[in-house]
Amino acid sequence: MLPLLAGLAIFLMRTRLGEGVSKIGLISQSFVFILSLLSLYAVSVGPPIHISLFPHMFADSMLLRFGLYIDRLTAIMMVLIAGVSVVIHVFSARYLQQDPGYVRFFSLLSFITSVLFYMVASPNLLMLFIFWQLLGWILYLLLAHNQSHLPSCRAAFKSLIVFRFGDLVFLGGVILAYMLYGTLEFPALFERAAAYQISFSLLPGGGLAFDGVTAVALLIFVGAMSKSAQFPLHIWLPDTMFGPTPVSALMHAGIVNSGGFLLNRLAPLYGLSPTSLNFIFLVGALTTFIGASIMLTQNDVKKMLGYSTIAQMGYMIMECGLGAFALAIFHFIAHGLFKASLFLSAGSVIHSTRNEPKIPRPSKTVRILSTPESPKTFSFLTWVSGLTLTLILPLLLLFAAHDVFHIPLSDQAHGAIIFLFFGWVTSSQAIISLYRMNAVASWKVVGAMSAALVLIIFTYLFAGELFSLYLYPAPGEAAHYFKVAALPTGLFDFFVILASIAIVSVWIFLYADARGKHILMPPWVDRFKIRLYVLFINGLYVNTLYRHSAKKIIAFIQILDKKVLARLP
Amino acid sequence: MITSVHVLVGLPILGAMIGLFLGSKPKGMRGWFLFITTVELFLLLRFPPHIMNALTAPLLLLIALSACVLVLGYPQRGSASELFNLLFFSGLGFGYLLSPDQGGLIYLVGILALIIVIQLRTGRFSDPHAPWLFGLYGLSILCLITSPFLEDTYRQIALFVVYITLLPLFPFHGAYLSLLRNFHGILPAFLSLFLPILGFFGLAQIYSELPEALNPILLVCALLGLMVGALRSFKQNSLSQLLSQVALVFWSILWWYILGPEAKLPPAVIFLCASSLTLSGLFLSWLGLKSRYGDLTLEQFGGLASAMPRFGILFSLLIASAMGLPFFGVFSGFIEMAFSHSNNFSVGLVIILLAWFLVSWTLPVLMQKILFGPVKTDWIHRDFGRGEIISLSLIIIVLILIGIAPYRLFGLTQVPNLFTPIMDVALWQK
Repeated sequence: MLPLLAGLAIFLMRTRLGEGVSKIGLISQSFVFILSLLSLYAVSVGPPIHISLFPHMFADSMLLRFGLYIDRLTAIMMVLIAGVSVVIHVFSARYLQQDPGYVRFFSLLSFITSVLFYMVASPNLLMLFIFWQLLGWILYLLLAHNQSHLPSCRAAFKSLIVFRFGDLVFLGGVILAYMLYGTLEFPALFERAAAYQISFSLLPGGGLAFDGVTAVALLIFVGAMSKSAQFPLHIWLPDTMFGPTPVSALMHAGIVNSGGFLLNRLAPLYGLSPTSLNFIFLVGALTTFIGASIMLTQNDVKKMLGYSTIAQMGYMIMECGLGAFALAIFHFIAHGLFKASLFLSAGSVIHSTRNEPKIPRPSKTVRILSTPESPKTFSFLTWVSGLTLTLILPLLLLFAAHDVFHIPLSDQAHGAIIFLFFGWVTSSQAIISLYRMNAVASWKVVGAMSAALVLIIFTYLFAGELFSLYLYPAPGEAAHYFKVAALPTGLFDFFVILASIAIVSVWIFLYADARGKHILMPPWVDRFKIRLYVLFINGLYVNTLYRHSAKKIIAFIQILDKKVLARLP
Repeated sequence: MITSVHVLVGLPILGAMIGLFLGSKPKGMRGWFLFITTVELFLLLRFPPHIMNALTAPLLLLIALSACVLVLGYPQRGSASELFNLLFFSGLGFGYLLSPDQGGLIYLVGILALIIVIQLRTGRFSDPHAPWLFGLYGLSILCLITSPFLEDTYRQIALFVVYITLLPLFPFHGAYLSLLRNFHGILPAFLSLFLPILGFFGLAQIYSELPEALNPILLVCALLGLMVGALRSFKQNSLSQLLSQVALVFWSILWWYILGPEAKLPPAVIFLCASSLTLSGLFLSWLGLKSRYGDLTLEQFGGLASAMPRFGILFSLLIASAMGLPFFGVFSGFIEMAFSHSNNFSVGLVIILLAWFLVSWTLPVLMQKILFGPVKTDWIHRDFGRGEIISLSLIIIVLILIGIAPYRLFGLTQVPNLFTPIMDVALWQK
């Protein structure tokens, strides 16, 4: 209630306090942060907390059953939200000074924090959906903070439309869940969904029949896709950079993660539907690939950041699709904190750059990379170390474990394999980046590469296991999700082979580049590369496709209106 | 002997007539009308409960409240005829809702005749939609006059024609849409709420006696109306025209629910009240803009969020309500209808969600065009005054109340658990 009351107080006392209203927000958020920490402690050592809010006031209401359900997942989310909110309040108090929308911003900031709190603490699907919708609306108002700036308003509108699409499909899922299982309270819903295998049909007489759990799970997932910017509903995120910096930080650190939270909250439901988990994995993988590829081709730093977030969100969703729900939570906490600090420090970097009387001296790395004439260095030691760490060592370990020591890679070890897979891909990316930045013959570089591998692999294993044990303490629950999410035979191997080919190709390319050699390719490859580059720099023309489709639909409506509808009253 | 029903019906009509004599004193006239509507509202709250039932009570209260609020928020001073008509309509409406059996139909004839007279007085005969108004309301009057002399089955059908004109169902929606577009001043804001309430009330009286074979045809009409309204709202460049299409979408959704199996009364009443009040509020906002800037197209507006911040906040909240966002009554009503439908996930619902999405597209576009963008510095801006703010705020507060405590507010206390789908109050059940 505190952030909500703070939002109301800010709105009501706007004329009396002026810019002093930020203190109301800050004090309330700080207090909420402390309470969140206490909640985290309470649920860590005890059972979940269930509070029924205003039971008498809403006793007659069919719609509203307000309550708070604080379990470990909720408590972690609350600490993250409150923490980020406090930082953003502190930052914004000075950042937005003399802004005409200062009071409105702080009021909305308190409201959105409150909405996020209620959303993560919802004891039933309907309450979660209600706050899910409100989140989109308040974010729209925050994104359109500069109301006279038309590009900001257009970007905010685009976000709202994508959110509304997701919301309405989500609503379809909620209605269907209620129709099939007669309840929206989480424990009862999961229990009934597990107990009854129900299918339903859209048409009378049994036409267009679907499996109940899968349909509910997929419909709700569309809601998650819209908020977490998953392909093809990702189009809103790159355009939102016109909003104030604190809004970007809040959005990238908190709001886009709501899809990951939703999937975690409904993990028992998704755990009943392998089809939906496989679909989630596919969407996540596609989003990661597209987001990362587009990011590499962008020449606008803000758009790069936007697409980077899209790729990270894809990664997070992909983890959920593989059954690693808890790992997704760890991932978005880490990503959220990283992105928030990135956005909040961006302003001061720009400010200091503008105050610099002369162009600053570039760093050593930048000098090496930006001088095409400089002789390319090649270190056999570093190159071999990189290749070994990213490919040969993991494959040898896999071979030794599987074929020499006969450690089974299925059932109980399924989770560990998933964690190792993500750790391998991430550390390979980090090691290749390290090599590109400092390709000199040095034991230090080799040490850094090894440290990166060890750190990332152990972080993944440790964090994945720790979060799994913490969030899903019931025996066998986390393992069950991994098992259900298991990809069809051969598909996981295909991904491993694909990643291996990508890593080998990168090392060959780096070798050839450093040696000043060219890899002979047929001419069509170059043409294809150019076309691919153009395709990605234009964001795969998804925006254009949407715009074109919208124009066509509107043109069709106009023709329909002229020929048919206009003759109606 | 004068009963409380006579007082409730007579007070607004008498008040309207006295108000006409105050036409030369605009401030006094408005004060007088406000006094009458407030007294009416107060009387209704003190009304003997045995005369009203679960259906009439919320409808009467809503009419009285909207009359009071619209007089309060009326931005123009000096047009006695509009306020006179408003009070006259509400008096006749009370008469219809409170009269037992066939007696009320005479009030309905009066209401429809008054609408035709007003249309004749506006003189917009060139409007392509005017024939619909004359045709459909004329037909309705004919049905009402002849209905007492017809056999039961034909009488029900004749009355049904009247009610589908009042609570617009495609293709009988032309008259309603026409008056929303063409009538001046406060009347669209009032009639957008008033007529569907009357239609809904009448329908509740006869629906159970109608042949069930009509249902599939009517359901198709409702879904067609939904799509027509949603698609046409895309193309509108005038706020009143856009709102009239949105109204068609709302009433088509209500029809979809009513025509479904095992439709219940409380969700339908909640949706009806919330949708009509939202429309009324939006029309009132439009009236406020029209009185300041004239009858402009949407493209000509812009930047009012900065120039008229109080208007901006209230208008955006009303748009949020129309878009079906929580915690407004439209959302609650729709959710309760969707959840209480026995076969709630169907092609019909998919079409409704699609239409809702289209409306969710057009309404923010409308809001952006009016509120956002650079401020027009060559315009003289005057933010909403106290009366307008209080009236719109009251509408929003009532919408939130309907949204968060609908059953308690309407006295519909026989409410089951959200998770037990059987409800006790079911007027529609056949």
